[in-house]
Amino acid sequence: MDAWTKEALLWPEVWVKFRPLTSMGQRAKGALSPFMPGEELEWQETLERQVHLLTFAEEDPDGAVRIEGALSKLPDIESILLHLDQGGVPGMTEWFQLQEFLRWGTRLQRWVRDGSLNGWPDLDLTVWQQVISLLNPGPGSRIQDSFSINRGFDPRLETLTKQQFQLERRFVAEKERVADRIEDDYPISRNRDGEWIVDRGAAFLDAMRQDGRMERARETTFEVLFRALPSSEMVKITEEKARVEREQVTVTEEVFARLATQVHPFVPDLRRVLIAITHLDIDWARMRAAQSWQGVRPSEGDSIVIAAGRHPVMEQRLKEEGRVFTPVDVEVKRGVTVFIGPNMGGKTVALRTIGLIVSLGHYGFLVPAKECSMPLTPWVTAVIGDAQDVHAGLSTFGAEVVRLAKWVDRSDAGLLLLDEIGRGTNPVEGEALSVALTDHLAKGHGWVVHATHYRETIEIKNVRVYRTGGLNQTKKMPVVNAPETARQWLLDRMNFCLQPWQPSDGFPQEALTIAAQLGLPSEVIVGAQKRILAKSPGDKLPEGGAKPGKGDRRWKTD
Amino acid sequence: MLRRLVTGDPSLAVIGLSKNAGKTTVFNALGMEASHQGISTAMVSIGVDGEERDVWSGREKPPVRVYRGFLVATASPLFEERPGDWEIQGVTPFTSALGPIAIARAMRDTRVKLAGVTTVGRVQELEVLFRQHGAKLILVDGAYDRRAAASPLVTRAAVCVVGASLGTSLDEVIEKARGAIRLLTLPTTTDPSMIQAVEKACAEGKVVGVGKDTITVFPNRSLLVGWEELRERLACDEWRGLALPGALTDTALERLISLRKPLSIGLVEPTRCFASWSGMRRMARLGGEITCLHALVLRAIAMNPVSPEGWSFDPAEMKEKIEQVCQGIPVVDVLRHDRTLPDQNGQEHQERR
Repeated sequence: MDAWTKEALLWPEVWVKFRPLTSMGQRAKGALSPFMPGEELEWQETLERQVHLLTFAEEDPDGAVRIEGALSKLPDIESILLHLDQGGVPGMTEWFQLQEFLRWGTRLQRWVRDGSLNGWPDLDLTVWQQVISLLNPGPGSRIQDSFSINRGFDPRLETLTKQQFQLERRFVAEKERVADRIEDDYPISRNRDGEWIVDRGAAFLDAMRQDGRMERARETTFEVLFRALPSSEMVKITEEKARVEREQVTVTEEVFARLATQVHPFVPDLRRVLIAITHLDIDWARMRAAQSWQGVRPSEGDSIVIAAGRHPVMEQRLKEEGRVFTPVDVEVKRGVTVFIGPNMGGKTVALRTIGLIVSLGHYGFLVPAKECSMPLTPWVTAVIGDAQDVHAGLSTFGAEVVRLAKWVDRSDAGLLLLDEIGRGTNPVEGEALSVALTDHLAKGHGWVVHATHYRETIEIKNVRVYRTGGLNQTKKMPVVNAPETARQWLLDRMNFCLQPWQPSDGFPQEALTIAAQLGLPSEVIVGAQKRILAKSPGDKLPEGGAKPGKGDRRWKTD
Repeated sequence: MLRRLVTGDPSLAVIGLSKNAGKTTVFNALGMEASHQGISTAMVSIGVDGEERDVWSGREKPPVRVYRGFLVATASPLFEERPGDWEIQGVTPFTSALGPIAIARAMRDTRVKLAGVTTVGRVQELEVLFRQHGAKLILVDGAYDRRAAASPLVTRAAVCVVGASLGTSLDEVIEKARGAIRLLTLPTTTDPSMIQAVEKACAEGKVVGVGKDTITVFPNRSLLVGWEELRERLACDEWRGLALPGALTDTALERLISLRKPLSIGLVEPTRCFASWSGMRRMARLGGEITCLHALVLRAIAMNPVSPEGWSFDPAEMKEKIEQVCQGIPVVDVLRHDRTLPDQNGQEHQERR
């Protein structure tokens, strides 16, 4: 699926509903590729797992919340495993994250097991407890929700920490003693930082300047700031503290290096579990997305068969307008399927719906339909909408042709969705091109759907034709000036239902009716009607609805 | 005074009105007081991008003092500098230029650099995490260009630091402090229509006009784009107020002043007001006013009479002059606390350790 196709199918708006909960899942989402022909077995297995997940989520909502809670808490340890693989020594935060992975991973494993969720045997990591014990030394090895190096990794650290506390207490006591002695001699108190800020006008300023127990730290026009010089005891304690701290650093480095050596043999197992959890996360996110559009499992088949297919984004948009999406029922066999129908009648929506459902199926999603079967195809391409390529300096027609040229003669059979090919150039050549292209594609072995207004396309041999219901004109539209009101009136009376075309249906000619109701001046409409009559003198003026056209042998009645 | 500050509110921001205002000194003093009071405290900084140096001065950011049991959120590599001092409680999804933001509890008295999280929303999320870990007081260190730290949407109250570095003369410092304090203490709106208008402006991200009986959402997102059309609409007499979804700048205020109308301007909260004091006075002379939906509680002004750039002011004179312009808000000098300071009742007392 190229960028044009994604845009045409409103893919980005659907794709955002696919939200993996772990950061590794989010990374995997970015790299997710569709299932390809030859991968039918894996594809169906993936779908089967999702059906299982969906059943579980619906039957045990609390269990589903627990699993989602665990997934959302699991940190991504890929970089830590890589670091260990390369002989590196993780830091404190990384050890914490590995511990968190183990903590939530064990819970996830338990909840998956309790939920009888099959399909993730790799979660049964036999080394969970061993790695947990390494990171949580001490009796019981109960996994903690925090990480500290002072947690029994090395008895030397406990001794050093005690020494450090004692030294700090001694230092503070000595500092206070020194400061108190100074304050015995001067009528001033030290501030929170243990400094004396003295007004320049203070009588004792000179004495403080001369006092060898303190130093002048700063001086301004208004005051002088003094700080006590450390006593010999303070110097001694400071040196001792520095020694203890150096030793702490050394022991800490030893502990981390030892941990790295001990955990290193478990890296392959941890990576296997990480991958399994990522798969679970991806499948879970697929399931949740599909749940939002009431997805069903597509089966494998040579034709694309969709019953009551929906486009979730368009459905939502219509819902916001107070309208209801008309589900799409269609069978697209190899060769060409043509959609005909009036403007605004739902042909493009049907194309988008088919494209979206097939694409979602390829990405392993349950699809928004009541029933669906489809083949895996190597590509899905849509030439829908105004494909004007501004940067390439191409017109609508030029851009369309460039895209067609790329896909029409592919040797591998894919799904090609075409919307009104040839509309961007003069009608005679446009129709000729559209018909010739349809004829060419009808001889191929790919799946092509072409929505068109050109009647000759449906005369091509082996082309299957669907039509949208069209405008119900039993009621005449009231005269309104506001285009939005006219649009609403038209939409209210439009039958968007896609149904197999029968020769008795005729060819829809409702453009003038719609144009009139959308506000084109009546003289323009009458002028257009006269021109149609002039070209086809035997015909009556089209009044909308199905009408056999000249040369349309397939529905010409005697 | 500091005791009241750390015991009065569940969260407190420290903001500086200029670089080198002395914000860290005040932040450290509040931390020390919270520790003395035995308050379970958490610390976080809101900065430009978790940078290690002050983005304006290029000076290395000073570490803050952290006391045993305190929670801190900062870039995880900064905890790794002294791993024995910390117990890691969590790693957040937020990242700074220095690495992911982690939350750790201090195992002993220590120091750490606070690498800032960048948005108000993230500070709010961190606050939730701090509370889950038992924090009763959250101290937010605001970068000087980030008045948003003091937003009532982030912390319950704020302390504003006025340093000598705000100006080269005491008069300049006082004048700038006066304007800044007025901005930070903009009154809360009591007009029901204006309250409704500001809420609507926030919800829709559009400028909202308050008429005599109506509230109208304009298509404009600010007063800076599409002003001519808006000006025409505002020119008639029906409008008595305007609610803005974002900031009020001097340019925007000048435009409103040019209408020569006594307009009431509603903002979400005071840190969105970037207008100058002189502009606000001119608006007031027209009969207009600027009010907010959420008021900022400015608990104290902390003063620092020494600028690291080399000049200083008489501490007593500076304090007296700030008190004259700060509308009764207590003025504290955390380094000269042995001097007399007014307490809540205006009584003077000796604050000693």
